[in-house]
Parts: sequence; C-alpha cells; structure tokens
Amino acid sequence: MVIFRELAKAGVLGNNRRIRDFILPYNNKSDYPLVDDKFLTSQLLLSKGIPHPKTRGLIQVISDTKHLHSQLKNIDEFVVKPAKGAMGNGIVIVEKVDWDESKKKTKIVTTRQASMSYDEFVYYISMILSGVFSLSGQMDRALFQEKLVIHPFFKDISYRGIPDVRVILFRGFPVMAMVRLPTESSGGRGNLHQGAVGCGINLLDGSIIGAMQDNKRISRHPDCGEQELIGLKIPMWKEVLAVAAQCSGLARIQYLGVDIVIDPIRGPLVLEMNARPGLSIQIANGKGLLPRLQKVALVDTKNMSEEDKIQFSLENFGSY
Amino acid sequence: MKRLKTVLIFLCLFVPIASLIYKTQFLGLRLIPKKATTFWKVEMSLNWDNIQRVDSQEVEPPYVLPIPHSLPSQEVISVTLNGKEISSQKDHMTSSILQFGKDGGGNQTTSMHFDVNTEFYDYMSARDPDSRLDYEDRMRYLTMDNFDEETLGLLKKLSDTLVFNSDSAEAKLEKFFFYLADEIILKKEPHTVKDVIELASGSYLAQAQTMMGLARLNGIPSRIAFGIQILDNKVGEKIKYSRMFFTEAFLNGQWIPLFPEKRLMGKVTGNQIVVHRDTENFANFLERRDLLKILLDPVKFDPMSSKEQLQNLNEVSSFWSVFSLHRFSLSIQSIFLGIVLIPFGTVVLSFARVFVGITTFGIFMPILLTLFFLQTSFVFGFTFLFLVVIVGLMQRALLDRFYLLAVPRLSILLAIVILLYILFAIAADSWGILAINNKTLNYFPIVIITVFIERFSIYYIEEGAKNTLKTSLGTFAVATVCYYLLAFKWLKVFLFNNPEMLLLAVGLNLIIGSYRGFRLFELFRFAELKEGQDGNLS
Repeated sequence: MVIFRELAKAGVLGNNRRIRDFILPYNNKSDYPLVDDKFLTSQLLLSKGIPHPKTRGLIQVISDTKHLHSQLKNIDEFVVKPAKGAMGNGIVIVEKVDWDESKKKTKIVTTRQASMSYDEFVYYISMILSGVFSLSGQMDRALFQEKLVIHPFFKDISYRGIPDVRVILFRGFPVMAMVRLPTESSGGRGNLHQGAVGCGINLLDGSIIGAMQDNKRISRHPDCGEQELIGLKIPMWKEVLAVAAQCSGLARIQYLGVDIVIDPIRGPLVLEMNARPGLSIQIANGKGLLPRLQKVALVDTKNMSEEDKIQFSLENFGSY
Repeated sequence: MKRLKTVLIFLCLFVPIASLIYKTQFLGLRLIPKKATTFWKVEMSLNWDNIQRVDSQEVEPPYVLPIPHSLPSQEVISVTLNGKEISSQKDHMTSSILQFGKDGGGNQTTSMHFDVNTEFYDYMSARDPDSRLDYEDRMRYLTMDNFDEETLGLLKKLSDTLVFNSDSAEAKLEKFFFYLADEIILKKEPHTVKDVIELASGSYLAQAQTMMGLARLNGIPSRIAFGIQILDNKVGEKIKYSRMFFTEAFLNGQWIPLFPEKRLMGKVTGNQIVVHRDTENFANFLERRDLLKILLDPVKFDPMSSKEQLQNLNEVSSFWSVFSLHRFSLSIQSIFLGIVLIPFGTVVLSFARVFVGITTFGIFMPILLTLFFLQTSFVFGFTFLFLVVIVGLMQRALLDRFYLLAVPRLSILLAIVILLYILFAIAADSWGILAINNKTLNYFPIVIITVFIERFSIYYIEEGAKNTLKTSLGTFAVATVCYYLLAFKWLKVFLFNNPEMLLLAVGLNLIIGSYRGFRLFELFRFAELKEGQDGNLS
C-alpha cells in the first residue's frame, strides 16, 4: 500500500509479517515451553554448561513456603521471578533481608517498593503461583535467582536496574542486537515499551550506534547526564555473541531473542530467551530487520558451525 | 497449502453470494422476509365471571369481541377464536364483530388471538378513495340521537365558537382536531362529552365522542373506532399500551382516522393497532377493563413472520426450508438472532488488530464487552463499566494490604460488582436517569465485568497508567464499533434469514489472517525508520 511504501523501502519488519513469515513457520510451538518457563530454561542452560544466573530455589506450591522463613536467614540478596512471566512482569529484586526470629519483625528490602514484611512477601509469592503474572494466566512457579551485579561499564549510563543485551538470532545467525538501559520512567526495568532506552549495536565490535526511547531517537540517557551513548563499546562483545549463538542451537527456536547480562567477573550470563522478540530493536538500530532476515533465510547452513554463522553475520551485517 | 487456502477463501466468499443470487433470482425469495415494521401478538378475551355479575342497566348486552381486519396501515396475519382459526378478510368498509348474550352462548372462555403487523400509513396523502356512503349509512353516521339535550347544546355552542359556516369540511375538521389536541387533557377514568367541554379533560372515548359530535353537527359523517395505542415502544423496554377510541371522519371518499392526543390527523403509525372501525354502540362495553381483557406482546424480532416465511420456502424449495432458522420456536429464534452477528464482530476485531494495530485487553475482551453492552444498553453499560473501573482500582489498593489469596479476592470483587450493580440500578432508577428493566439488568454481564476489572487492575499495576489507558481506549473503540454493528437490526435479520452468510466471516478472516503488510499504527511507531530520516546515523 502506498502509505506504507517508505517503511517497506527501509526494510522494516512489521508485526504481521514477523508472526506470519518468521515466528509461525520457523518456531515450533512444542519448543516454546523451554523458553517460556524460566526454570526450564535455566535447567537447560545448566545441562549444556552455558553461563546463567544461579538458581537459589523454586517454590511450586504455597506449602513450599513453610520453611521459607528459616531459609531466608542465610540469604542476603536475591531475585524472585514468576517462571512464566512475560516482559519482566512480576519480578522483585531483594536487596537485603532484615532477618528476625519472629516472622512479624522480618523485613525484606526490595528495590521496587522499599520494603515488605514477611507476610507481604509470602502473599506476593502466592500471587505469582496463582498465575497473576504468567503469560496467559496459567498457574505458575516462583523462581529464586541470585541477584546480579552491574558491570562498571554500565554504571554511568543506567538508572538503577541492570542493563541487558538483546541479540536476535535467526537460524543461528545473530542478525541484530541492542542493549537496554533502565530509566526512571521504566521504573528501573528494561522494557522498551515502558520507557527504557534501547541502544542499537554494531555487531562487528559491539559499539553503540544509536539510541531510542519511546520510539524516538535520542543520543543521551535521560537520567544520566551528558554522557554520549553513541560510540561506547559494550565489553566482552565477542563472548556475548558466542553465548547467544550457543543458546540458539540449544533452544531449537529459529527466530529467537536472547537476553544477556554482562557480569563483571563471570562475563556474559544468559538471563532468558524469547520466542517472540519485539520489533523496537529496529528503531534502536535505525535499520529494518527484513533484509537481514531474508538474506539469512537463503543461506545453506549445512556444515556451518556456530563460529561460521557469527562470521557470516559480522561480514554481512557488521559494517554500518 | 497455499492453493488449499485460496480454494477455501473462494468457497467461503462464493457459496454465500451464489446462494443469495440463487434465492433471489431463481426462487424469488426475499432476503428479508418482511419490511422491518412492528409485529405484535394480541390477545383479547371476555371475562365471563365479571360479565355475569355486572348490572345489565350499566352495561347493556350484547357483549362483543371485535375482529380486526387488514388495513393499509396493518396486516392481520392470523386470527383464532378459542384456538380455532377464523378467516379475516380484507375489508376497508366495515368491520365484523362477534356478539354474545349475557349467558355467553355457553362459552366459558371466549378469547381471540391475532398477530398484526403495523406500519405507518398516511391517508391524507394517499388520496385513494376507497368507499362511498349510501344514503342509509350517511344518515347513520350523521345522527345525533345518542347525545342528550344538554350535551347537544354544549356541542353547538362549542362548534359555533370554533368554526365558521363558510369553512370547508376539511378546515372544520382541522379546527376541531387542534382544539382537542391543544386544549383537552387525556384522563383515564370514564368521562362524558360534557366533561370534555366543561372541564377540558376526558378519556379517549369521551374525546372521540366530542369529536364525532362536532363533526356530525357540521354534516361530516363520522364514527367511533377502537384500537390499541402502544405508548412506549423503545427497543429493549417493556411495552406499555392502552386501549383507545378515536374518531374516523368521512372525507373526500375515505374514512380519515383522527388521533388528537397524538397529533396525528389522517395518519396511523406503527404504534397503533386498529381493532374495529365502527364501535359507537359497543364503546361502553369495550372501555371496561374488567369485562374485556387485552394483552399485547411484541414479537421482538419484529420484521419476520416465520410461519409465512416457512410456507413460502416450502413452496419453492424443500432444501432451503430444512435449513431455515424459521422452523424454531420464537424463543429459540431469538437466541439465534442474538448470535448470528457475533462472527462478524470478530471480523471487526481481527481487522482492528491486524490492519490498524489496536491493542486490547485479552483477545476476546472487546467482544465480551460488546455482549455486555448489548445485554444492557450502551449508556448503561458504559457508565457502569466506568464506575466499576474506578471502584476496582480502589478495592485493589485496599485488598492488597490484607494479603488475600487470588480466588477469594476475585470472589470479593464479584460481590462488590454485584453490590455496585444494585446501587447503580437504584440510583439510575430513582433519579430517572436511565430506564431500568429486565433487559438492562441481567446476570450474564456480571462475570464479564469481573474478569475485565481483574485484567484491568493487573495491567494497571504492571504497565502503568499510560499503557493501560491506551489499551483501554483500544478495547472500548473496538467494543463500540462491534456494538453498533451487532445492534444493526437489518443485518441481524438478514443473517438470520440467510445463515449461510456466516461463511463470509470465515472467508474474510482467512483473508485478514493472511495479511503480512504493515499495521496502520506502525506508521507512527516506526516513523523514525522511514527512508530519508536516518541521515545522521549511518
């Protein structure tokens, strides 16, 4: 249609085509649970030795909380996630536990709402279990994970929270990447549609080539002063791409988004995978996805290793 | 696969259209059985217990049951007396009437049922002289014998003040008509002509008698007619009706009905059922509610007469008559009538999501909301929903402090919604803001509302005010469009009559589902990516 001509020329991938041409034909429905359930994902990653945040515990039914109070005594900071939660919904980051013999006096200090009493905390877990945050309201499990540490590189360009790198892979080829920086308006979360900053990345060297917030291009983080984002180089970029490519082979999902947090000591850790990665990454990169996906679709992948695929991507999509 | 889909789409679009062409061109069927007018079921019955008790001096025999006839303004479809069908012929001149003595001729119950289809008709513009009066009739319609001396004197005085002798008959009638329309107040209790003239108020009958007297005094033949006036005929509300008398005057070769109360001169609307056109001698009896009972029910999906439609179908094609929804009883028909359009509502929904890019709460929430609006009324539903959203957010803020488990909390929410429903209904009713009846209040929507508010409040917590507002607007927009589509009666009847059209919805969804182009809203979302705008980046 005429009004869409400019978008088509720019190679923008629209939502309908994303679903009809990529998600439906390339992603097998039966493979979804492995990426939709964070606990299953972490077990899968563990079995293949791919680095990821450590699992501290899992609550499947409300009676599992019986010994929770005594267990909290030895933990200081951790993250609670609904295993099937989408878009970061329902995640609580606990910074400290003021533990006391009596449950009444125990306090759980979180980043989101200052602090919770122990009762409030158990209530929150029961909400997770009843499926309040899960993809389609199914019963869920509460996953306890280690709290990650922010890499010094991101300290000056992020408002609270921990930035992560999203790599979109198609048939195992990294096709586009961005880093998501939490902002005040996103409430310290990395969701672009809630106001986080997305920075497009040059696949070749991990340098930031553009940034966006609320679908508009920007050049500075709104909460972090004068620091120019464009030109900064993401640390450990080669390792990030390698880990992402490993995930792709593992999950069997051919059009995949992999979210990676860079730990100052352990390097890239796979946070989660997504079988329906969003489209805003195109705005962050100032480039449409479609030409890249179409190019990858034609490649004969027989006898291609993960390294070969990364190499192909760097050669074809690396230079801007 | 692709070929299969193309074939399916073709079939889904072709079959309904081909069947329409076949039905109209080869079978000569109408797509909508009858013009969308008003279709009523009427029951009139004599109450013999009361008739036996009544004083013969007060209401003189014979006791009567008038038989309605088809007229330009109405079609009487079937008349049964005590369950047996009796013929009702088209007869514009006279009307027939069944007369009974005090013993009722041995009948214990005497009741008559008929279906009548009414529509607007204007006698004045029709100018279709349909009758002549012979000398005998003329005399009968001019006699003043039924008026006593005193009344006659009053009528003469009134006539002199209202009209000049030189006025034409039409002008005179018009002046009498507007005198009654403007000056006289309608009252329920029985009245006499004297009351009308002296107190300026009177019943239908007394007013009609006054009109008749004035007309006859001026040499215009006139008579009293009897009918049913539907007072309130809004969709979805309980029908209010009353028996009425009106005058018919013979003018330019036709009987002209006059309804001063409704300011209708020579016009009959779909809200008037003419039962009998010459009831002067039985008027006192017909006016008595305790002796003659009249019940009226609208046949809600009024445009259809299933019996006729089926007969019609049977004559031309046994195949189509098997597949006709007209075979079911009226209550089952109304269910089908309610659901035939829903698939097209989902076509709207698909369109809004795939072509426009509107986001909604859940996939089918807009359709559920549409059903809620349809079950109540748009204004009622919308206002109530708005109220519930506010209260829902408040309850969440409160209940979140008690750490309740999910199911009990949802149950509390349900109770709050019902309480609110009650309060809202009472408030709306007592302030007279909205009409409350068994259509606006219904138990089915409660669950929809509860699910809606739960989704809404979670969405609010997680996504914040801005995104919630956006999604709410999208949901309401789609629900509103669907509402107006689903409330479209003509379309509903058309689909009911031709259910094979539902294949069209399947075909349209196959087409919409195959679209891979951009959504309209993506123009704004990806505005930054349009060619020629990425200058400084690359």
